[in-house]
Amino acid sequence: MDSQPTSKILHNRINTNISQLLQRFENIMATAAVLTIPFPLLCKKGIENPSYAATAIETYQLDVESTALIRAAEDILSLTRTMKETWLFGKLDTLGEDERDIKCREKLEGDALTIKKTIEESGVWDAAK
Amino acid sequence: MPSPLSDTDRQINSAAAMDNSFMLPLRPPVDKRDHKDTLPVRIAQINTQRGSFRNVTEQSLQAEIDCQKEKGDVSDDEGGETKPTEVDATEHLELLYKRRAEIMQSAVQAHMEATFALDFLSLLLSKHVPRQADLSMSAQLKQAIPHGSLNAEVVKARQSSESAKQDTSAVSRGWKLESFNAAANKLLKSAKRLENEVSAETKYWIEVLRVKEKGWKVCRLPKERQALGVQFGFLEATPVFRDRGLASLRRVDDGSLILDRGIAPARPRVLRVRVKKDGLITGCSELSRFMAGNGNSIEDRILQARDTLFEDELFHELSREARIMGNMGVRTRQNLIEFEFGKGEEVMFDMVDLDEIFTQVDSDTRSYGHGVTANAVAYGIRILLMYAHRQNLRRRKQTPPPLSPKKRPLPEYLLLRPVAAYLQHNFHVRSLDSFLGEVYQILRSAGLECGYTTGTFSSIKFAPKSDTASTTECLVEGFLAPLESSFSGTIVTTASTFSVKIRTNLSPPSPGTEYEFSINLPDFPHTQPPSRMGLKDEVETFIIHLITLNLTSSISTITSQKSRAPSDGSSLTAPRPSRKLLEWEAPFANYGELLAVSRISGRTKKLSISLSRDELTIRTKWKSAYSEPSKPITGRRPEPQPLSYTWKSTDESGKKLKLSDVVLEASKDSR
Repeated sequence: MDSQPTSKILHNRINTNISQLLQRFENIMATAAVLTIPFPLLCKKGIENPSYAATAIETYQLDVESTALIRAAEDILSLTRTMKETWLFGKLDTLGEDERDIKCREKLEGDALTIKKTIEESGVWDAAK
Repeated sequence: MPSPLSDTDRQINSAAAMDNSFMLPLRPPVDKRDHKDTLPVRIAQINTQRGSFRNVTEQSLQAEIDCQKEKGDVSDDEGGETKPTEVDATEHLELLYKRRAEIMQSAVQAHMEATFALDFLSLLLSKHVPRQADLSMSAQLKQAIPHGSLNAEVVKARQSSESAKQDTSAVSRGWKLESFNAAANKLLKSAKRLENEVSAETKYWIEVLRVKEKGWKVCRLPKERQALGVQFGFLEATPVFRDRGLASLRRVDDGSLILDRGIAPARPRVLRVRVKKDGLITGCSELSRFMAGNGNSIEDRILQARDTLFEDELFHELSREARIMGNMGVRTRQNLIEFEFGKGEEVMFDMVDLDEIFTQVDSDTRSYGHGVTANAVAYGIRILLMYAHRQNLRRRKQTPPPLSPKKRPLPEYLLLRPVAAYLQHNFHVRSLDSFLGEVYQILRSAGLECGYTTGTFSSIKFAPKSDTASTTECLVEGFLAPLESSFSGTIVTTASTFSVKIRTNLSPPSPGTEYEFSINLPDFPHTQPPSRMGLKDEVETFIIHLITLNLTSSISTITSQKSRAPSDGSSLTAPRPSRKLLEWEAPFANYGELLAVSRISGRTKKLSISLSRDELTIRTKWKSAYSEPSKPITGRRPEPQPLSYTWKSTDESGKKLKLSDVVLEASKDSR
């Protein structure tokens, strides 16, 4: 992704992921709840699975939901990395100079001036006579 | 689902049968079905029992059969068929192919059945969810049967027996517990993994930030979009070195950084400058200044990488320039560049490994006087390389020249030429200076008043700072022009003067040092200096020649003055004013010889001057009038001894007689 994601896209992504996390967890709990419903009436009845197929479906669903939960968490991780990179590269100014370069350059100029003066004054070479 | 059912069924039944101590079993005995299980069932069985077919080898099957045979189990019908030892090799192969064909057929059949099932379901769904059903229906079905032609309704489920229901619920409860456990484990494991990841990432980013704060350019790699890299090379170098200046920052599992330099992680090497005089190494540059320390932090590694790259580039550019300087006496080998700049003094450049950098042998560094030169040269070429980089930048900033099919090669950087020019110029200037100093010392100790002035390196002018060039650039530019120094002095008499200009050029048309003379000798108006002298010895000879000429003329004037004006200041002359003085003439001024004819005896006396760097000698000799040495000369007064007087440069002034006195002494006429 060469183009930096806009803040709107990032926000959407964050919201999606968070809602996904919650949703998946809720689904897992929902699957579990089929077995043990807290209503006392239904408890007596003992709702049970009518067939193996339904149980298998619930097992599969549990698998899917947990994997999706993990995936949402990892997505948040990659999101943070993208945001870090964006923040890092937003500050790059390749052609211009930031204060560090300016400081270096000025120090260099000062040194060069000193050397020039020393050469002209010392008389070791009769420069620029 | 049939296999678990049959397994559990069989197990429960066999368990029940064993517990029952009735004589008569209440349940019908379970007999093995007559027909073997169908192939799909068996395949599924094998899959569950042994993993997959990959784990089933002939050897394992054979081993199993043998085990069973040993246990004395009931006859296995299949055992006979698959005994491989009875079958020939080729038949075995054919058998294999046959079985393979059977398997393929079953697989195709299974695929067809699955397709049928899919079609059936999509037809069913087409009534309720037409769009999704469309996706899964095959093309044939779509053409043949319109949508929604199949419907399904819920029918009251058949009530299964209590035991079956209990079975179902027990099994399903077990399944669910198992799957919950599995899900919980999975979640916990991934949570731990993610936690590690997060901490590793944090560490990585802290390091990257630290690198960035130091000022290094962090960028994304062009090849891999996920990795970050740091650019430590110089953007103005040649493309080879510019590309080598990018390294990627990779993350090790626990989060620390690794600097990955790609294919060429060269060992750290530094360019070393050594000065050699007459075969002995007399000076060596300090190496540890140019390479960062050997620390382990990422910062140190980046610095080291940058320094190594710089040194490599330096040596590369130096050897490139040395190749075109071959006509000026620069010799190159694979790892060595050397050239001579004076009498027996050489400068050598070579690359030295990391180990030698930090454990430099002391005997080398104890300089015999040229350590300063070596260090200066080392610093100088590095500064010149950075200046060349700036020139590149400036050239890139300008508008490019018009496109032409000819590719313009990059001109070689001026690294070695300014250094060589400076050293050579210095050598010539200093040697001429010392030569003139000694000669003039001799002349002064002989009582002559003369002097000379110098203007060494007078050509170095620093342009003032302008918009396009910073002070550093002006500073460096001053040294890139041809160097010039001048000497001028009076010879013996103040009227005659000479001046020498020494110029050293960096490049063709006339690389090297040149001397330009201009002289003003009123006594010898026709003497011209030779143009374009280049050798130091020639120059010295010429100067001596000039001085000798001037001395001859001055000596002849001394005696003529004295003889013309005997009245004034006659204290110098001998207390016998009657004695005449010889008058010297110089017919052979070029050889430094004067002749005088004695008025008294008629003989000629020869006075010869010999001047060298170390001494000035005046000799006089009477020449015999007759050229017959064998004839005994009798009756004559014994000849005065030939006079010879020497002034050396080591003489202290004032101790010796002045030249004029000696000349007067020599000019005494005698019979």
